[in-house]
Amino acid sequence: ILIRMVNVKKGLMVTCDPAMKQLLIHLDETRALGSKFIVKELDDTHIFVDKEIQEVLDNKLDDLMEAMNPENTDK
Amino acid sequence: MDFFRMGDSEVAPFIAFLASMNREERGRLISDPSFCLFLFRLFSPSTQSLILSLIWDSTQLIRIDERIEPDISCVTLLEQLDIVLQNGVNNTKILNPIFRRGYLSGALEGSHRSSRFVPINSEKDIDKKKKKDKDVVKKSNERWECLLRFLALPSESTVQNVSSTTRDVLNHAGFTSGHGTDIEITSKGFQFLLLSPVKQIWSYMIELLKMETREGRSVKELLDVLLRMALCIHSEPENKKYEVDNSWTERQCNFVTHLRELGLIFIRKRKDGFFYLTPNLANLCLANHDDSLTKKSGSIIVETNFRVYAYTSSSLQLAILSSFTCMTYRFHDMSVGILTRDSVRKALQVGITANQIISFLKTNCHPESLSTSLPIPITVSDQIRLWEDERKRLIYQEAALYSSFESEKVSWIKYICII
Repeated sequence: ILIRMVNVKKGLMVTCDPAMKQLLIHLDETRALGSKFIVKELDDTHIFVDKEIQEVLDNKLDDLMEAMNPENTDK
Repeated sequence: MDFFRMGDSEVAPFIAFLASMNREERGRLISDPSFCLFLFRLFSPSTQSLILSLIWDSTQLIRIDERIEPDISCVTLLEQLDIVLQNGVNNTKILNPIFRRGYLSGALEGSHRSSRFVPINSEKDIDKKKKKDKDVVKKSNERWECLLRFLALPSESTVQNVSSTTRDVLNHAGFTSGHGTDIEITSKGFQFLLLSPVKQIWSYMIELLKMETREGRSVKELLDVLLRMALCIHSEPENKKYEVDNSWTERQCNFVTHLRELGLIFIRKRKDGFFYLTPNLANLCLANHDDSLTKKSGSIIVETNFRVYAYTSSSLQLAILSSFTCMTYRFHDMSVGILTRDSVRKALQVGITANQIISFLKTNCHPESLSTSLPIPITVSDQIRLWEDERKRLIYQEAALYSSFESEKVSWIKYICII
């Protein structure tokens, strides 16, 4: 009989809107932050990620949102 | 810093500080009638009525299971302060008899008598008195502003106006960083500047008491003087003179000098032997939720087009304002700025919240815009909040993921555990 152990991994659960989730998946697949960071996609609005990524991710998102800001792009 | 998170309905910062004190010291404080009286005033109305009903009916026990929810939170709070005690058996609680006696004797004596200060009759000449009153108010505001100006713009000229005690307190509180001549305001310090005067004075006092506690000194001596002064405020018309108490210890004398420096009391000359209470001290009698009572007229007008006009020449106000507005024109008695996305974002990035910005604009509103129904246009306050929200699209929670179960078909809620 095969006894399977349950794995435990500590990390961060992110709650966001579906659009942000797609953005996160994109960042993960393109390794825009240097490495993959998504551990598991839970559902449309929840995603489980590595603990260390929080700061990098926040900065990256801030830059991205800034770049998309109409006040800047319209100039 | 939990103080800043306290909403209107929550406990006064002093009560939170009291709850964090060690039990023995708190016990010594509670045995003092003037302290009980002062403390009682800081409680929310529902807590006050609960205490009153317990005081007058000393046989009454609190049965937790018979109580409704808001009452239970009052009782828990009182229990943390040792005002309500566990009665051993069967889940009942009683009012601390020491507090009961303290409050009763304080209340019977009246707040003024229990402060044990000796008032001196002021001048007969009404005109002269009025002029003096004005003087006291002006001087005390100047003193407090010196502290704020030092915090906002630390420079050689502003450093001269504050004592080393003040600098220590501000540094310990984390409002400034650096030492000697190289002092800079931190984001925590900026948040302090944005608070209303009542909250500012309270949080300064709490930080001072915390500093004393950290250095292992008892705060009872200091609180004794401070609270007794605060009790006099309610019972007497403003700016009455009081005799300086000769029985004060050296530490208490130093503390009184410090209060004088902060503008909480006013002493014309040290050898005069009497002091005045100032309206700034009255702020200490107000719990957080009484903010609206102290509405002073400010100088700021905010328009729907995000323009901000400040009819002031105070470099302090302008320094605070320029932390989240983009200043465009500056005349000698008025300045114009624009709230832009960038300027607000800059403030948000150092940890200032949208609510703090909005409440700063509100408390410093020009009387002209106060007379309208909405002192801050809704478009502006909403936009500031939207700028804040835009920065937090993701909510993080620490969690643990359990995987490789026999059946993977369980919904994720079953294998995530939020820490």
